[in-house]
Amino acid sequence: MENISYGRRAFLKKAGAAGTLAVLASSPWLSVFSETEYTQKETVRLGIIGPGSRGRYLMHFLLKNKKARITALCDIYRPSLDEALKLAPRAKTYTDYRALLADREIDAVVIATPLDTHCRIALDAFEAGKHVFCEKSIGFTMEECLAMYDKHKATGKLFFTGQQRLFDPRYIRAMEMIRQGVIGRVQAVRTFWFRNGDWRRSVPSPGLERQINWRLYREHSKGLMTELACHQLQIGSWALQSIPNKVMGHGAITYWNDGREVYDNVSCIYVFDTGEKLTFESVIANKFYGLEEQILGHLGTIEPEKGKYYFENIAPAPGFLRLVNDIERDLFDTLPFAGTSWAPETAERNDGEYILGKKPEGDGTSLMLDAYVEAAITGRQPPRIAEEGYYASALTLLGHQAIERGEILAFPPEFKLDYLNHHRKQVETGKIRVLKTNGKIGARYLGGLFPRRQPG
Amino acid sequence: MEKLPAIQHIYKQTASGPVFYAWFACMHTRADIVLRREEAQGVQLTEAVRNKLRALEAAGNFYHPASELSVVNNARCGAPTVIGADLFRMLEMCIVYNRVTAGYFDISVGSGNYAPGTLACVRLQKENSSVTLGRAGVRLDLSGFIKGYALDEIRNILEAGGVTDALVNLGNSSVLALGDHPSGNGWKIGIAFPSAAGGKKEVVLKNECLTTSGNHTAGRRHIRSPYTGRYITGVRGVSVVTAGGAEGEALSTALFAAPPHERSGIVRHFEATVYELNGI
Repeated sequence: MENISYGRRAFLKKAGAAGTLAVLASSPWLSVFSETEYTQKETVRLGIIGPGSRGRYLMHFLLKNKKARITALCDIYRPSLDEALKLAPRAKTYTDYRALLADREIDAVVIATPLDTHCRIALDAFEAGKHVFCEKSIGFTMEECLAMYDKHKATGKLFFTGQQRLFDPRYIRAMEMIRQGVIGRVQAVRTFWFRNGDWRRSVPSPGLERQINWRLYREHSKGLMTELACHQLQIGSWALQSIPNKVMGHGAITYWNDGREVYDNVSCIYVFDTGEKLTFESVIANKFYGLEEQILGHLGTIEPEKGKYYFENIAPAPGFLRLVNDIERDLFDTLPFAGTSWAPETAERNDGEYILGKKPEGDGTSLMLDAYVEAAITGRQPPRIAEEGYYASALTLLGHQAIERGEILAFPPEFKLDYLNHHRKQVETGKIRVLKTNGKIGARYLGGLFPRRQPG
Repeated sequence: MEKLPAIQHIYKQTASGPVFYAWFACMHTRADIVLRREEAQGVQLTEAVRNKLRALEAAGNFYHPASELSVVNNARCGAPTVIGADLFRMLEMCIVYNRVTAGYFDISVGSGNYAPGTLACVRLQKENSSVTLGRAGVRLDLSGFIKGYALDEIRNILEAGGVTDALVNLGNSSVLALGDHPSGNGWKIGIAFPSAAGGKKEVVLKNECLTTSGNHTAGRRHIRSPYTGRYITGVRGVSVVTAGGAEGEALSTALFAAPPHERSGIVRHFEATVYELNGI
């Protein structure tokens, strides 16, 4: 336990060369680790809903955290339950998530089911008084995303989403560098995810095709947008500290004509209020360029996946960057840069520098789950994490709508939160269209499946 | 006229006022400048500094065949070459510093058939701003001096622009600190060297220059001994704090080149604080 606790503090220190405060300014949710020593003797009891491949991947990390106890598992697919039981043999098993939610021995849940089931399960979990960690995309529609966010606010229960980059040290440091002005004013964020494969999982019998390969079918998924773009679009708003308000896009099936319903080739352009662009591209019949988010500033470029940054001309001197930050923080410290002559030969190559001083290892999944456990023990929602998760999914879904409609779409005011450049619209709680059905009068919310919370 | 890239800079508003940091490549090294100025004025001052440094490079770059210095070095023996005010002044100063450092600061040390006293064949004529090399094979190299001279010129530009507090770095070996850090008295500068054991690690500069000469690594050797003509080897160095940059370059180079018993005799001609840096 000591080691875990020390590791997190060390991470915070390491991630922020300019100090913990600077890290928290660009990634405030990391404050969740500020009280780890006071929670040493506490544990949180977790139920895993959907321990398929992703769910079990998350379990591996949770099992390493001594403050986490996996006490229940739920899946409608028996082989997944059996595999998960090998990891957590003492966990109770369920095939109906509602039964798991009724279990008073569970404090918090992890939802890693197919996309179209997230919302219903999450809403029920909040209602049942459980904290919620939900894989991304969180909702199948923007209405669902908003309903989940609102339920989190109404119940006061934690809401974490599976945006592991928020806890990845190289991304955290990259955002701190952006905030310090190291790469100048960010002009564009180009994100792409290229693979070469059919994205299928083997199916033991044809009847299970849609259940197992749910990512390929429209009734369950929006394909590359909800499964891949969701990881990356968030980098744009994190870097620019703004939500893009316009999107256009296109999608097609250009290679994998194998009965799938979702596109295998998509492109979207998001536009920020002052014209900066955030793009997402994905093709899954060519993997040459792989996966990256290229953050383009007028002084330099950051590629957080590679863990590197590059300068347009020569780099600012680290000692002077520290001086600027010291001045900002009213500190008078020594600048250890003087010495024998600086040779320009190294600066003339542009191989970039490692953000963390070395090749990156792993991602933020482990710390993200540690954060969830910490927060579940203290009961305190870390700042901005639910909002980041909400917008990552909302932007994904808005992009999908733009692709489907072939139009340039503006971010709908009714889905804006009070966050960054957005302000929540004071909703009329429902424009109610009166319907007549068989002579009976019914009402339906135009906003979507789930009515919004009544103000007050 | 060559279009120069925009000045790379960071500008921030802080509780104590604006902070402007600019950096650029010049003189085969880098320049870093921190000012307490609004962005537009910071850019303007930095552009003026960059223009001056480029002019100095055009005058005194030993390695550029079109520089004024190269024209001098390639001139026929005994034929005067008319040179600009900056090069004239640099050569004039270097001759004086050669004398007061007992010959250990010597810009002619790379000449063919070099011998102590070679520099004496360099004749300067103020009337027509010319220089004449009185011996064949003489090559003058200002590489160990020009950054210090440049610091003094930068100081003039900044002071003319009303700047009272600033930190300027030319390649880490030549540093000028004017006035105060916004949160303290002077500017605290650490000397980065492979071992701190033999030297003081931190100095506070206020309206002063810090100049370092030495070999940071075992593989680096770039200063010749005027008395042996050979490159000085070994990881060691000298840092000096002086009022001006030019004198700092001359003094630190001379102290690095001179044997220990000669050093005190050299230092007494300067107002300076000296730090010897012994490497690991």
